[in-house]
Amino acid sequence: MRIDQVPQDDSILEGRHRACYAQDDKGRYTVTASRGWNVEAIANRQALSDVEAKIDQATRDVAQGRASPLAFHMACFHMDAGLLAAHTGIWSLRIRRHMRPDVFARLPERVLQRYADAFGIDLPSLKRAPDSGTQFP
Amino acid sequence: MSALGTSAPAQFDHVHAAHCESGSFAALLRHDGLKLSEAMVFGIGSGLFFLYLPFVKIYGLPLIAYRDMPNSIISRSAQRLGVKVVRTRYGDPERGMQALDRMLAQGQPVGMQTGVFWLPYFPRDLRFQFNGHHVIAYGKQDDDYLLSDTVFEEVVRCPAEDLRRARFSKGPLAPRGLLYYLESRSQHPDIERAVRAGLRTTVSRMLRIPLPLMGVAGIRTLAGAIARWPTRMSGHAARSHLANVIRMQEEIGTGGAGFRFMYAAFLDEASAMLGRPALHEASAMLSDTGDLWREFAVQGAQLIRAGDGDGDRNAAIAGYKALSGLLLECARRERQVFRAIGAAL
Repeated sequence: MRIDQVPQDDSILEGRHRACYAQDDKGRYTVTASRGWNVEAIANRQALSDVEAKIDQATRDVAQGRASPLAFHMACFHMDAGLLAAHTGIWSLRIRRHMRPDVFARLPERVLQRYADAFGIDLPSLKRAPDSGTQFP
Repeated sequence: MSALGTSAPAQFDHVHAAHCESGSFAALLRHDGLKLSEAMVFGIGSGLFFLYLPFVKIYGLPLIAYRDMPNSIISRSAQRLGVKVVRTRYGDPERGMQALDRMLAQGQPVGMQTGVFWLPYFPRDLRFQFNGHHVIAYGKQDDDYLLSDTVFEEVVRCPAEDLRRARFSKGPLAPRGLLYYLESRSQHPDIERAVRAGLRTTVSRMLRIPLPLMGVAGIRTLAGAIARWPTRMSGHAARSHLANVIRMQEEIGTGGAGFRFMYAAFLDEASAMLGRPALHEASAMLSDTGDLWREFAVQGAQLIRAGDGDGDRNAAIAGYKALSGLLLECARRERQVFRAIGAAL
């Protein structure tokens, strides 16, 4: 890649720059700053769309009483039961049970606190059902 | 939070780099007086690789890496350069943060492994659950840590609570608070010898691992798999699989083309240092291969953007087949490149 081929697209870097290796006229490599590349933005969007689909699904499930707010927070924090288990030390089978609204409603505060700590949010936020749309920590 | 509070040396020679691990280690070496480019550290540490593990799923997508194991660049280059690195992990976050404060109070810049998701200064769209990100702390002001994150142009600040969360993130590659710094360093490192050792390891790992999931053989296996994706799964799932490959190649800080351009820069430097014109030729060949990887990303992105389009499934199948062909060509050329390097040593 020559320096003049380094893409400078408005992308996902929010005005920051990425270092790219590119060649000058004499073929020597230098580090060049890039604003971003629309190709990586497309791939990134695809990955985020999967995350957003999970958040939307969880939002609907919570609204319709099919899932507890825990399911929504897990989606927002890009976590499945296995990853949340690693963060909390709570078995993933138990976490899956806690994704049921009736079970979640009966959870003692100390269990809820472990979830809240893992996400870095407070207890009221953990218990609150999402209103609409997507959230991000 | 810390009893030590603000610590002094708010000065660090920040240099923008492509990749976090090689960039951070190069920065620590430079701070200690050993000036080596990021590409040099990457090459000496045998950073270049290819790995495709279809049965290891990260959030439902196969594990793909264009580089070798996390932390291997540091351990290999340290050993080859005669640098002793102290590495400590912590079970208790509180102790891990106190240890960091103590080192900063002594004016010691410290490398850290972190989970990107928890770092608030990262662009939002890049905050995925990935625990292998390296960053250097060089000071503390009030409750903010002063960080040199080499993948950004400027130094950044990070609140203590966020940094604690990032250092003690859990899950795959959990950092467990890893801190590292240089303890001692050979004053006369044999850099030429280190370069040769780095080259030899990469040649051997790219060409001689008898598993079709690693090195050049791994690229060929991925090429075969990509051709099957549009018939084995839904259109959306196939696009997510493809996007995952492109992200690993371009998004996570590779310097372009999955580290291939950075390695070409290293080969160029190595050629001059060792007086081996053959390495310069290998660099040119790898640059061309890098352009082909970029072309793969461009065509892949077109397929992703096309979506299900007018539902023309045959067009999608043909598109994935074309991508597969590009990857086979990348594999063929990389085999040539690494054979040429092997012959030049």
